[in-house]
Amino acid sequence: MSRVVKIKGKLILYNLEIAKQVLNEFNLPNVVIQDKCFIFEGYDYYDGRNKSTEINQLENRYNELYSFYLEQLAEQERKRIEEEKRVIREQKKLLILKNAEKQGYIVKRLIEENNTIKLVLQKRVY
Amino acid sequence: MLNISHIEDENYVNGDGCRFVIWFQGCTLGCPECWNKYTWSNDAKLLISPEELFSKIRSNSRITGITFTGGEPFQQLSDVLRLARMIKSNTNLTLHVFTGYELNELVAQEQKELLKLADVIVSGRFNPSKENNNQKVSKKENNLWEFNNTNIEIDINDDCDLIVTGYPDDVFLQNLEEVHNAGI
Repeated sequence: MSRVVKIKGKLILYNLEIAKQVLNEFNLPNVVIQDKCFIFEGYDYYDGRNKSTEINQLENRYNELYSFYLEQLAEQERKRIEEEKRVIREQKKLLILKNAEKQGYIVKRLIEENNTIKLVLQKRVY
Repeated sequence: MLNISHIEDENYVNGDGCRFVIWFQGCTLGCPECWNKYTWSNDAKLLISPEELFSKIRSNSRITGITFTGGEPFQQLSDVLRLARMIKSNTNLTLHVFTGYELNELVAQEQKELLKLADVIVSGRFNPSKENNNQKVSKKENNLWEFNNTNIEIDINDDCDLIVTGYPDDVFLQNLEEVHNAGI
């Protein structure tokens, strides 16, 4: 019986979808994902030659895609928060205007720019 | 160094047009009904040189004038005057000064120079029981500004906080607080 050579990557793969994508992209024989790591499992010493380098390449590619994925997540989160704040600003504006009108104010100026709202109110003169 | 309480770089309720408004920190006049009591202390708040502040003013091309208010601009006279000189010698911006002093109290040489540089002076101890809150307006002949002490500006900033300037009455502020705390 041949000896089993196992070469395990150092990187923990938090996103298995991306890891599978990388695996498909490189299509290396006997390299699988196990315990959240890339691992080479072969039955002969010679099969294991250069596998560390290849696993390293897989990990680099994984890191590249994973960083991009995190950036996209952060961007989506930023957009979500921005939109949430825009809605709150708009609600506050409408409520302030409603109250101001009840108290006899007119809007002299309304400026909306750079994620801010400026309301200039003036007491109505009868 | 100037001791500043607050700056609004574009404000429409402290003079005519779009104004760069500086609330100076520190005032010993102690008007009982003062709205800005937090500006009384002479403790350092934001320290900035007249040159640096002037450079900030120059970088805003949308403003039509500068307003000094407070706090008491005449109690930091030397540096305030330096800033006023820079403004009037290098720009066409108008200068409005709000002071708690009466004009007849401002008779020293430097005080008179600041009065001369200003296009508009609103003077007198703040007192809501008197007409126009006891604030008298003196203007240069060609200045058409009409003081309206009912104007209010509300800025809703990026983080949805409210900054209120101008002349809101207590009822208005109470309503505003309810809006702010309404859970939106």
